[in-house]
Amino acid sequence: MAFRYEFRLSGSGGQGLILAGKILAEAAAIYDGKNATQSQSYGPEARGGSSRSEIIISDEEIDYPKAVNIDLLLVFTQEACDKYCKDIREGGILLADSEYVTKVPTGNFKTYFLPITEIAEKEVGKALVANIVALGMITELTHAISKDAVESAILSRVPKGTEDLNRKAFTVGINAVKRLIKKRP
Amino acid sequence: MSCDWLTYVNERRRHNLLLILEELSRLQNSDNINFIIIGALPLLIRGYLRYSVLWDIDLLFRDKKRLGEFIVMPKSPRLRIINYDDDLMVSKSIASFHTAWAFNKAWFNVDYILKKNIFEFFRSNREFEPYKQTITLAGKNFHIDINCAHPWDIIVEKVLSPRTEKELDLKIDMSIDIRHILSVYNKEKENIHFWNHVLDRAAYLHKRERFKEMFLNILSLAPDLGYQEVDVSPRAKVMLTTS
Repeated sequence: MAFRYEFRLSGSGGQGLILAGKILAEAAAIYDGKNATQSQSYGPEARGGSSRSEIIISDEEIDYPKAVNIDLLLVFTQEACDKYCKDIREGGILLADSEYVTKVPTGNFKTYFLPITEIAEKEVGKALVANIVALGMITELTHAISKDAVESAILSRVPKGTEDLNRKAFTVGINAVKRLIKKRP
Repeated sequence: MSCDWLTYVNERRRHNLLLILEELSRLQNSDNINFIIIGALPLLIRGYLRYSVLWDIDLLFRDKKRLGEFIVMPKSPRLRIINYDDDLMVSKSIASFHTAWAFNKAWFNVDYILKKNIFEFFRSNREFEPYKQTITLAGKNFHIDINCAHPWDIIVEKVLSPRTEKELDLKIDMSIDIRHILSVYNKEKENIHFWNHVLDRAAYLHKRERFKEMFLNILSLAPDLGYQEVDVSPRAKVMLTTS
């Protein structure tokens, strides 16, 4: 059966989720040799309000570029969580920044609540790289795109002088999920 | 492959991009221009960006009427268009409508944009001219004749954009706009024609001093954003500090 994976990343403007979506799609299409689409849309208060990015990756050509059955939903606001958690497929994954999302929804999906922004601030030293930390988490949770591909896509998007910082943010995200999974029964 | 910039388009997506650009060439109204391509693509086509990403196509429309006409215009029966938005997303200075276009399932984001006064800004450039090229790919010729914004005008608009100001304030090192600005700067920093052009164009927008201030800010903050290789060249200093 063909491999198809759907992501939706949602939060508010300025959290870097549109860019994170682009990086995921580029990792899959340019560095992992898969097919990928990435869409972006903003709420009415464009660039300051809500933002949403959907990424579809597939081994085969993508016939329809909209996400219809979400495998992984990443949310950085309670509003996004409330609005989109119903779209997660059975057995899918909800990843949320626990600093902003406090009400845990119920559903037939796995939930991972992690203080993503706080981890970025404390372990990397910069809250702004929370989107890259989240990419590390997504990579480790899904294994849908290779780590090397995501790291290459990140590095192709950042200035030379911030490569180490972003590489660290990515690794910190991977390790945070590894620790969490180890703790779970 | 007969043109250098296509090297930076993912191999499996090149054919579709050229088909879309051919289609857009047909859909533009040459007598009374209905849209102009803005954003990263003109910078890529004109040789300023030399890296591989999934390029989007940004179409800036003259006005809402032209956008409405464009949406219902008959298009190639082989072209599929999927709307990502239900309606035009409107904010203070920009309205946008996001779509995906494909001839062969390699989807490209094509964003329809309305921005107050900016269409006329791009159009009023005396050096404005379409990108005309016949590109050969895998033995097939693609005839492109499309209105693209002048790369230096794109930089003026980006330097003055509130989004750039915000990203600079927040020191966002992944800012796409700042990356574009610095890519063009690195290539043109000693070119007097470039400086005269951008300052004249900023003056057209009545923002010459603001442009100089913002450009200097970008250059002085570039090392903090990870662009250690960017320096304030002697010519840039003169052009941006003298009145």
